[in-house]
Amino acid sequence: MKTILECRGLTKKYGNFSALSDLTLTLERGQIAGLLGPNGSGKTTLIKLINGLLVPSGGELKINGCAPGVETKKIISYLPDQDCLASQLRVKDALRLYSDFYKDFSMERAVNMLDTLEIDRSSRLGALSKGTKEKVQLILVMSRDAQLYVLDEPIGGVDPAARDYILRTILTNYNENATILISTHLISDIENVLDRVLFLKAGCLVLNESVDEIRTKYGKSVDALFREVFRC
Amino acid sequence: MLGKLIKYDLIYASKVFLLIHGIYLLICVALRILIMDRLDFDARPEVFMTPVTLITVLMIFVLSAVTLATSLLIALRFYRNLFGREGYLSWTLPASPSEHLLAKFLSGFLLAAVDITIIATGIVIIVTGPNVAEAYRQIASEMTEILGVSLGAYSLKLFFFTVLFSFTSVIQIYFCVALGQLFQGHRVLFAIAFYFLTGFVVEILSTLLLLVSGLLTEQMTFSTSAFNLGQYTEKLYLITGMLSVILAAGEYIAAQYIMKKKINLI
Repeated sequence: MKTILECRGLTKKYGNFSALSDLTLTLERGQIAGLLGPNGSGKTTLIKLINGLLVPSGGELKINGCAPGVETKKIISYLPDQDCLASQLRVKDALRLYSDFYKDFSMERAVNMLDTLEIDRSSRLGALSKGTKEKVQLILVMSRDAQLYVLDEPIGGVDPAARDYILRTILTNYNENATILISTHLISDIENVLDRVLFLKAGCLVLNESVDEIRTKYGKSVDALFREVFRC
Repeated sequence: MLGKLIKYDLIYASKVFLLIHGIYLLICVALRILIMDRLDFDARPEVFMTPVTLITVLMIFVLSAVTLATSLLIALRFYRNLFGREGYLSWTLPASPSEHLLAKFLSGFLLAAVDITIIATGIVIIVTGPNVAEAYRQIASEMTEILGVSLGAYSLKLFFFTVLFSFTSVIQIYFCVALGQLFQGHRVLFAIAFYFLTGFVVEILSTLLLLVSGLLTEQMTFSTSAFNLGQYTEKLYLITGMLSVILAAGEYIAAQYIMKKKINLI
């Protein structure tokens, strides 16, 4: 399997504080990986580094063999942990924007998902509820035929029924050669869709194993192991 | 990609921009109908001066407000789109930092140029009534002598220079916003502080340059008959304009460096 993401000694410091310390990991194509850790463990920092939103303090980061840049942005579909669309836009304007900038965006897929969720394409994003806005953003992100999907807390702000829909959306809209990296601390909701988990603790990678390995090696679910590793 | 970035930048800014300038033009039309067209240039000075003072004060206020609003709009678009929450989308679009900066520069310059054009149009609306034109005809030859050219030609030259050099103020705004991003906190506050600081530096350098070139002392001889205001303004614009262009080039390179090497969306 070809590597999609590779970090070697990746470090990010904010002043004297190390948000990520000497992180080394590789992620192969064709899997759904959970990036798990408590608040402040460095999950969002790693995601921002992957997307070129932060400049590393040290180390190396490669996506499909390239440093973050125009070429990597063409193949990464990113869902940030916050609302990044201008509130004055209408849903249909957001669709047009994605269609204009990303060659791999499928308008048909996006429209189908919006219709299934009965989201009016004429609505202004600023007038939508927080949960609906999150759904719109996820639909935009998952309507791309990307090679790497990076989803930061995709289910954090929505009700359990919407969570099920979002997880279904993720599962049904990515091809088997693509990779999904999902950051969350709602592990029990997401455990069943994960192939691999990465545990981050205080900016360091403390575990990188497949879900099957965890179950056979530790005899525990990912959720139970997480609670043990990150016990306060 | 550059064209798309400019297109979306202009779409985002257009609504507020059109609203501000639409109101401005309406105010100009109202001032022309309600005050300027009713001016009696043969009236006693104390009667004549009241509406003239009123319209002058109003126009100073309105022009300052429109100019400030346009600068704020350009600054806010740059900040929000690249360094606010919209930046999470902007920086993940398949565009390089250089393309982002160039797109913002071109759209900002376009907004600044259209702003100046609309401001000039408003002034033209106010001062082109038949009574004003008739009154001006009586002093036209004296004005032409002072300016060295007709008032129309002088105004056009002034307009051309102002539009031409407006891009320097756009770059100054972007440079200061980008500089503010180098700090961990209070980024907007630092950007505003840098804006005033760079403005102060530009003023000092301009004054020094005018002193060295002799233009500042030439200004003292304004009352003499040999003084030609048209030529003086041209020299003034060229010298301060060239200084602004040199500084803007440095600011553009610095902003590009920050956006390429120091981007940190926290």
